[in-house]
Amino acid sequence: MTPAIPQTKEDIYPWVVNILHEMFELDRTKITLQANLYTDLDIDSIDAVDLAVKFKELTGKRLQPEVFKSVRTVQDVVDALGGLLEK
Amino acid sequence: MRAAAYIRNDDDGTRLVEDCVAAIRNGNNLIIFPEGTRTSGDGSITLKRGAANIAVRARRNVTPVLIRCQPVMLAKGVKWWRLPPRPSFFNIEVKEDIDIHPLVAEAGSEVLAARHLTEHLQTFLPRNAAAMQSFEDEIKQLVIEALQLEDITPADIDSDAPLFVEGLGLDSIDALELGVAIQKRYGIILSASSEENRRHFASIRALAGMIENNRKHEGEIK
Repeated sequence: MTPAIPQTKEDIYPWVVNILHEMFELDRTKITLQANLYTDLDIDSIDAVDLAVKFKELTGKRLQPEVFKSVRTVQDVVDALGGLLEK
Repeated sequence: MRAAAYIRNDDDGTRLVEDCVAAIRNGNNLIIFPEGTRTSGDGSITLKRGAANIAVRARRNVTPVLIRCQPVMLAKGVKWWRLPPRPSFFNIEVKEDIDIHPLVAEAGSEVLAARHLTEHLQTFLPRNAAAMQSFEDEIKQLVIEALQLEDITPADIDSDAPLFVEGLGLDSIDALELGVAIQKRYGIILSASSEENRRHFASIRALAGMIENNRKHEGEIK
């Protein structure tokens, strides 16, 4: 089960790891902060949109498409979500 | 392009999937080459997940069609005007439809269903070098078990070395035993022609290639 929405910045990364693991059956150990979604984790453009939809479902907030398009690494995802949850 | 009703893919992946799903819902059939590019020189193909995503999201069954071409022509990296020495022969094989509904139900999400379907489709295709290596190890293990070769591990067997007389030093009785084991495991009945069998049993690599080409692609969906 995906835990509740992260409350602090520190909680975001493990929360993202859980989501990526559940959605794409990715090995948790591969989901490092440096991992590139597309080249290291084999996520394609269709998956990326599904991921954005999932984030919106869970947080109730929408990532701007241009922000999401610039995301490459897991760290980028964590940062983008951090910015989103602060608002 | 427009006359043939090609669906554009110069926008982005998601729009393309939506357009394809819409085309299917309008009653059209869709032909997709799921590898998304031409086959590379070594014959290995890695599928993209777009085709599976379309089938899963439109909830339509898939008819796999395998196209083989011998000798290879129009390959990547080969000048298109360099024709093969003899005319190419195309073999087009239409497989049984894959029912999409149980697949989606079992996966629990469209994302995972598309992944599982892609993995399943991949089993129809020639393996890449790494996968072939592990398949050769599997055959070595089979040989060791079938012939009860003691003190030998797969690592001790050279994939290219002859199996009979030299190399492993097997004899005709061993060949029969091995034939039975292959039939049991892979459902392949070896031909009675000794000439052909000599070719198949030439080495582990030859044997693995023969089994790979003849095995039934039984349901390998997880």
